[in-house]
Amino acid sequence: MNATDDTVATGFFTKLWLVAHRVLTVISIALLFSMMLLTCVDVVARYAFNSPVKGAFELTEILLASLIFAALPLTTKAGEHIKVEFLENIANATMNSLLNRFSAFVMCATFCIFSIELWKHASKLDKRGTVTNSLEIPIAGVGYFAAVSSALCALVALAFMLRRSSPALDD
Amino acid sequence: MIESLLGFLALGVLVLLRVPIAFAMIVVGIVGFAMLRNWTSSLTLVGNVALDTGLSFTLSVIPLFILMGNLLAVSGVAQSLFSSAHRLLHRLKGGLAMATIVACGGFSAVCGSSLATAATMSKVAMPSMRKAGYADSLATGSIAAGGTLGILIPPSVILIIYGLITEADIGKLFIAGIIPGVLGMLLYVLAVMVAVRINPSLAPAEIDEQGVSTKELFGVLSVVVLFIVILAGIYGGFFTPSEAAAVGAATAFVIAFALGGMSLEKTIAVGSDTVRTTAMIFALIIGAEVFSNFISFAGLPDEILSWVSGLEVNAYVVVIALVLIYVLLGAVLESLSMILLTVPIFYPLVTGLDFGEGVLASPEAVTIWFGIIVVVVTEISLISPPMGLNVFVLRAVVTDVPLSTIFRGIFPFWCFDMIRLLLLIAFPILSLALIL
Repeated sequence: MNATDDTVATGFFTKLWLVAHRVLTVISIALLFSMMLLTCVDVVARYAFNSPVKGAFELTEILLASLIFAALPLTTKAGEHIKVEFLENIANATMNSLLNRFSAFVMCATFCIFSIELWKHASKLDKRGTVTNSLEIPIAGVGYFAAVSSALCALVALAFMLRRSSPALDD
Repeated sequence: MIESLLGFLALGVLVLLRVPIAFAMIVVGIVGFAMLRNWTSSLTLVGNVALDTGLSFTLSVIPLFILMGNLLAVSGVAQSLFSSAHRLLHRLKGGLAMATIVACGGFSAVCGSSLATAATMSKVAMPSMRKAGYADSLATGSIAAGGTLGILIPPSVILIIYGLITEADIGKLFIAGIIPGVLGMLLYVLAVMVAVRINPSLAPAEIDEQGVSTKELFGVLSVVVLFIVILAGIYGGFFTPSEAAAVGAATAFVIAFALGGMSLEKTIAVGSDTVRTTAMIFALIIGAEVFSNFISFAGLPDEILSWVSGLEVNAYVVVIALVLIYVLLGAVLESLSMILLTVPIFYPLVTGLDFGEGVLASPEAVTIWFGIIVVVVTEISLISPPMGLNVFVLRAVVTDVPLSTIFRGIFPFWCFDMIRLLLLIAFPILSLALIL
């Protein structure tokens, strides 16, 4: 495979993706370490000062949900969703390419559904004004973020599907 | 019944067509639920599940334990464990392979993943065994088999997921894994002894080595302390599992820093590895949730339960039949997906069985014992052809050893795994002794 076959995305989209990739990596790592620190501080505060961090429980929930959806496009792009490479040695090149495109198509369709349904769910929460118990953080925000992230995942899968040659997902 | 069977069939076809397992489960789950009910509720349900799965305090334990394991993997404690274990075992023939097993067991005590354990130990143990002139089969076999201990010796991501599905106490599940894990380690060491006795050319004569350095001692001690703090903390009720994982990850960071292996680049690499694995696992959890909603709505667990109770066979016969199903499934399915797919169906069945008076008298004991059995079968699937994932992880590090050689090297360990499985089924007390 030579470099130009690698993607159908034009220069602009490639650059945009690189920026998104970097931003999501930084955000998701920051969320992970914040989750770790928050829980540690909560434990120390509980035992040493007898005063747990207010809202640590719900903050952790929000951090986790955001972390997952921030990282989902990265996992998808890296081709790290677990699959069974059963026909790999049997299928020929055309067959391989077809199978990989089909698999990318199913992922793309699933992420489109995710995106639409998460957006609907989030706007419902938004209208109802659902907030967390003690800190009153609006949950809809996480829902909207998850919807946008799923849309990005759908685009990543679409790029795999439309790639000109040997669309192995594992680059 | 017919809807569920069609669902599993569709799932199998999609998985064979290389659709990632998580997405195959979601698609079949959505379509199946829509067929049984209607599209609107099916699609709405997916949106709810996708968001609510993430908004969970209990599940925060997963990324935190993965982070801890990944931090320790780059910290150099694996090397310390390996050198110290070899110092103890260097007089025995096959000592390096035994040290590999013991170090795998030690690393498993702070890492919840078999794949991470195998990947870490392969980088540490493989070069030493090659330099000493070990046969590739024994060297790779001991790493792949030893690595499986990662999900049995606590902490364990698989046991956490099992606990979340069955609502069993994660602390008790962890404690229950200790004896079977140590038993596995001892049997693997025995497997090395038997293998080199039958074929002495597998391992050369051992070379006497230098004593253990202070840095290595620090590495080993930190693993021991971390293990005790985590287990005592969870079991003693001082920490929730999530808190233990967070404190463990922070301590792992300090250990990695103290051993001199930490830099900003490494922190970013470990972090980005952890978040990608986390997203992969949660995609599977969401998929399993959507799929089991459909399967439960179709009534499969109830039907299987009433069918099996109508058979009036001995409870142990049912358990052995389930174990056989797991061995077969394990040959084609990845471990976490296998557990997510099967446990919601099988565990109500097993807890409904009558094991008579004794250690298995309470449903809670049965749930925990069955969890350990499931994890041991999963361990076996990790080193069974054709899909054994540990073997493929090893292949990525040791690129010049053919798969057939690795599977040949695994064979003695696999035999002892079967012995351990039978022992654990026959003597439930082995899993339950520490929690009674």
